[in-house]
Amino acid sequence: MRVVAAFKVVADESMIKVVGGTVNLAVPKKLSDYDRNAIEQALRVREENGGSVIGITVGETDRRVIREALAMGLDEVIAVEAQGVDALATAEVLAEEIKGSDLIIMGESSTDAGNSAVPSMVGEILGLPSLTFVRSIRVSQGKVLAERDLGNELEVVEADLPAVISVTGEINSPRLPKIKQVIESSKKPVKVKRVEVKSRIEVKSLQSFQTKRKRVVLEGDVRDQVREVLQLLRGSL
Amino acid sequence: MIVVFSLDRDGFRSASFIAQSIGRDLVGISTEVSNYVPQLRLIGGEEEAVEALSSMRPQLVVSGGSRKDLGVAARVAARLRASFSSNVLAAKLQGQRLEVERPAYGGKVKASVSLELPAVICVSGNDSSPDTFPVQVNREHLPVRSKIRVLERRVRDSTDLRSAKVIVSVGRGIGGKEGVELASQLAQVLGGALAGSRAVTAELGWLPPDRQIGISGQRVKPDVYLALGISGQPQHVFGMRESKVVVAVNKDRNAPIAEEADYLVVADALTFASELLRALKNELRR
Repeated sequence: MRVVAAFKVVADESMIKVVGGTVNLAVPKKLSDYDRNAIEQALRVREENGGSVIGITVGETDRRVIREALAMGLDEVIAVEAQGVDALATAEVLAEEIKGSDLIIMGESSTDAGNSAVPSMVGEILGLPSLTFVRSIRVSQGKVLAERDLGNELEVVEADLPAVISVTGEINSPRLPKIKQVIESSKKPVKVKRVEVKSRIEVKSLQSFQTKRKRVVLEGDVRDQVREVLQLLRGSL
Repeated sequence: MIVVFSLDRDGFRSASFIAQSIGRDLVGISTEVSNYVPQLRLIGGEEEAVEALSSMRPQLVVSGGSRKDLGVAARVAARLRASFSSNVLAAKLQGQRLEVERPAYGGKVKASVSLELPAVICVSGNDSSPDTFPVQVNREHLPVRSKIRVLERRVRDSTDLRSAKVIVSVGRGIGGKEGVELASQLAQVLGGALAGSRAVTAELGWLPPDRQIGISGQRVKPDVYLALGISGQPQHVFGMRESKVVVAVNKDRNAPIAEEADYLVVADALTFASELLRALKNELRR
């Protein structure tokens, strides 16, 4: 079985600082949160069904993040460098690269743009079923059985392979690579490509969401803190 | 022509509001009757929606933002080779482009993004009341075949937290179900609602999923938001940013929630919650 795990290299949002109205994006890169779950799930499918797991990333191709993904257990990575890719451009590049795979697994959303669109787009472009927001799956005999978490509804669905799925952050606990895997990851193949894409969107500006908070810090004895909070609750309710 | 779409009532209302702010030539596609648009096409489900929407070849689709809506909207964008944005908070036409405001980087920043037409956008849930029209309804049956077989559907509870005046919200730092029970009593005494972060709702299951506040849950705006043991990840903050007064309780005075709080109580969330509950009960007795 040929399984693909798609992942995205993103700016670590917890490091982004807004200073004087300017958003500083020159922060360390990371593997987008739920893509770790996608990789984990792809590895589990391989463990149960045999075959290979190929990682693919489109956009920024940070070497350190790619190695981290490889260290989790991917067999190889296809890294497609592209500037200014929007959701559809990403989906178009992915669709082209992963043709012929049996199962394509992605995260429910990326931590940067967070459109939650790419898995459905890839499915549509390739004419494959896309099962989104999946919180558990079973793959056997050319079929995927999945439980979709749709917020106020759970849906158990089935589709024939090949299929595209997006997984929620709750589907599994991603493994931490062992030292040996980290060392070995440097020897695994990474195919680097570069493509030019036409972006249909343009980011005009980034601003902080302005919320003025008082930022009063109450320290000390818990009973004094309770007294103060009671007082301000009375004032606000 | 702007096509307004959602498979659920709330999403259709939220999408209609944003669509009406862009233009007035609106056609709706939904599963139930609504009068936020003058013309409505009633369809059966996801597959029919994809077909109906893409066959109209619209310049602009304004969709709801539920997980199902997102899937439909993204598939339509792929068929139309359209630009796409979800989580849209506001939108306006600028010549041949659509400018939208949306969160980025987990809700940490607000981005203004210009989209080429045709465009498909999914709106973030809002509590607006759009204008209503006398509506002409067409019920349609489109011949579609889904590649997906639905074997089972289970409806879960849904709670609207947007109208709550007080919200007691818990995070991992509340320690466990015992702490959640305390928070629940606090919410009761304060006449408010109980809610939580993604960690305690979706991940740990200390609270049901409909109590989640944040970018993947609800956006709330109570008078008082009491955050117990919530670290303040951007994804959570996005959902509580419009609160009037934020009181946060956290052991770590450098936790990111400190930046988002009017009052930061540096204490163990569980200890503080039980002391506060005792004090409130004493006060009630008097």
